Amino acid sequence: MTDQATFDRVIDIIKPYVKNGDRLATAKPETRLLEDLGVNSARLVDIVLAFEDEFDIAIDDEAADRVSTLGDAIAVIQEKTR
Amino acid sequence: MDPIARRDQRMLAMQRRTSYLFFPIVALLALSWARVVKRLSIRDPRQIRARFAALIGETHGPVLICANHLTLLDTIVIVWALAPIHRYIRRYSLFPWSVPEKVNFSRTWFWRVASFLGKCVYITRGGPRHEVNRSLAKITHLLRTGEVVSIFPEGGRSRTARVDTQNFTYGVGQIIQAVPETRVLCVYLRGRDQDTYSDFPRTGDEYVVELEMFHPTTVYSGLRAARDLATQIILRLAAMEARHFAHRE
Repeated sequence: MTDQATFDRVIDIIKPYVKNGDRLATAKPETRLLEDLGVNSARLVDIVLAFEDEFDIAIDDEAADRVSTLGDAIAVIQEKTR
Repeated sequence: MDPIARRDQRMLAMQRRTSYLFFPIVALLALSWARVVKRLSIRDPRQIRARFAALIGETHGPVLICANHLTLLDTIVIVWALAPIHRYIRRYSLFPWSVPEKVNFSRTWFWRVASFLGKCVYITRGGPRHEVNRSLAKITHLLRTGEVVSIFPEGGRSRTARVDTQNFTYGVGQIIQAVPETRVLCVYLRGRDQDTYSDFPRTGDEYVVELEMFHPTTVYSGLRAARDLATQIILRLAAMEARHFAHRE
């Protein structure tokens, strides 16, 4: 799967949790989930679990802790799908 | 979850000893303020205390109190409702450790001292992972050493005025994952005039307090287990709330 395809799927997954919808339209890999997109910190777990379901992978706590930006999320997903 | 550092263990032991020395004064001041200044009361306190004593007596192992959360006085109401002061003095592990949000409860010297003497372990909601893990390690250590811990599993005062089954945190699930033998004492409390969340309850309000003990378990692992365990607790509290309102009508 290309980086762009993964990025698009990640955007679709996090959409329901994003409070700053405007920022999502211009999101880049550096975009931060909590600070820029307004995702509630408690919902990060739901997002990580949604990644697991969508990409059929298992993300351990340590990898989950690394997810701060969209780029981090994509890196973790690609690492687990390799 | 990270193991607790020796320094943190020593600090908690020191905090417990100091808190015990000041407990009669602190408890009297807090309860006097609630009863005399705020003129709060609790419906059927004897019945609640007898039930708490029975539930604790039947339970072996760690106990985590999980309550709904509407005002800043909820912790005081819980402590007041569950046992008389002399019972806490005789068995100080029953006086629960609380887990307040660091930003809100460390702003002034008064709150820092009150939190220290009130057996509090700060947590930073949504804070850096290592800080949150350090707080969770302290909490699990306390549970393993026989201390009762009290937590608000919604992660804050409910903005909907009802147990929030949508926007709750999963930290409580991580605690139970780390100490799976933990029994959860669900405490549903509500002032008669408490229609929404607020800093303080209305003066003269009367509280209803209901208790249910259960042992949450899960077939999942990792983050999914934390979510499952936290969901079980929230749904239990929501069911208690539904019964409370059904009974009130």
